[in-house]
Amino acid sequence: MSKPLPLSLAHPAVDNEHDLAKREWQELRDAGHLLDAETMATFVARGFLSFPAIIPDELNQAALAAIDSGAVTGGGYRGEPLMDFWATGHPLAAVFSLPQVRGIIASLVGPRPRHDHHALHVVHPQQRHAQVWHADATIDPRSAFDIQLMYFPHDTPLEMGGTMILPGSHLRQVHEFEIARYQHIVGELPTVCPAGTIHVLHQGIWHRGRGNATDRQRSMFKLRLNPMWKQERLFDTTGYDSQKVGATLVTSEPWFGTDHRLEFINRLTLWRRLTGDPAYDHSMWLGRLESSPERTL
Amino acid sequence: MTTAAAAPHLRQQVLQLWLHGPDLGSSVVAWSFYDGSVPRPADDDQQLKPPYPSALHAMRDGWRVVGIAPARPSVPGHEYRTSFLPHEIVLERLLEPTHV
Repeated sequence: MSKPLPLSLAHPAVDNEHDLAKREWQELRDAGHLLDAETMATFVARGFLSFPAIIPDELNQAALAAIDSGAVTGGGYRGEPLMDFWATGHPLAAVFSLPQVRGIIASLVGPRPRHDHHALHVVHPQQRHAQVWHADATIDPRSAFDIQLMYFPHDTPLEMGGTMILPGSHLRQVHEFEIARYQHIVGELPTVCPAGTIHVLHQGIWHRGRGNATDRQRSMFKLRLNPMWKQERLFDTTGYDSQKVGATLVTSEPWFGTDHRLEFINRLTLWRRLTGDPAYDHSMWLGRLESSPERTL
Repeated sequence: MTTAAAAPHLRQQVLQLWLHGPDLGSSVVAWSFYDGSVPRPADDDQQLKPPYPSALHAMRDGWRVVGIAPARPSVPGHEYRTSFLPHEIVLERLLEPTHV
């Protein structure tokens, strides 16, 4: 396999990787493409974000044509810079080079992330078999996180399945298919979406591919990205400590049961890391646990 | 009481419920169903609503509790870690086999 050509980023040559990444991030910030604090808090709370029809139809058509022709295939564990992976002009390079998409990526894992792996998931017409619940890779107790982008280049109605995801499951420490003991979970959410939608998932989120009851092929391109920079203040942090953001971080999911306060604590701890504010709290969930006075009377 | 030993021709259905809390009357948050009375499982991927509101409702419909997950003390140093759903109830029902 020949070495892929770099994407055209219209940047002058910069030797220093840090300078290049910082310049790209600043350009995305100045253009207003970074996620705002409320959206970022939603990701921390629910483990995913959906961007319906964010990819224009001409790019969706090009991606579908590339899938049909075999130019887009599945598999491949890379560990190389995302921006060097696809040749200039490749349909997927065009999709993931869109400023809006790069802004989403930069907000979550920073600019110029590492391409972990990708997969083309194809579910044939009338293929009713559904996957069981799983989390990708394995137990991952890092405070840093990867993201997985799921790109649906065509309309995906409920009968076509989509991927079932479980909002709020991303911070649970489980190993891959060990969660297959559950067939259904209250609050599970099928990714019903229009063409050109990208769902961005925390790597830990529980999910399963559903069957396809239509006469059309379902194609979804998944891309996993690793951060190359500390995930601190990478998004538009304006209002990160607002009441609305705090309320988002302590919004429960219907399947949490008696674990919901543990989930709040884990979310608030992650929010401290992402905002660079070690004293952040909401409703005293962390503060009361950290209250252990040493003063004596 | 009918048991599998007393009526070996009967087939077992197993219903796993995960509840909001340890109270058997608390609401179902997840479920799995296995049917040993039919040759192949039905496609239930469109069923997005729990089969019963609680384990108690299932018991009133003839399901027998055969297992309850034990209480989990927290692990020192990992008190806030979450993983599997904690409040699991296993129920069974014995049926005549069918061949549909």
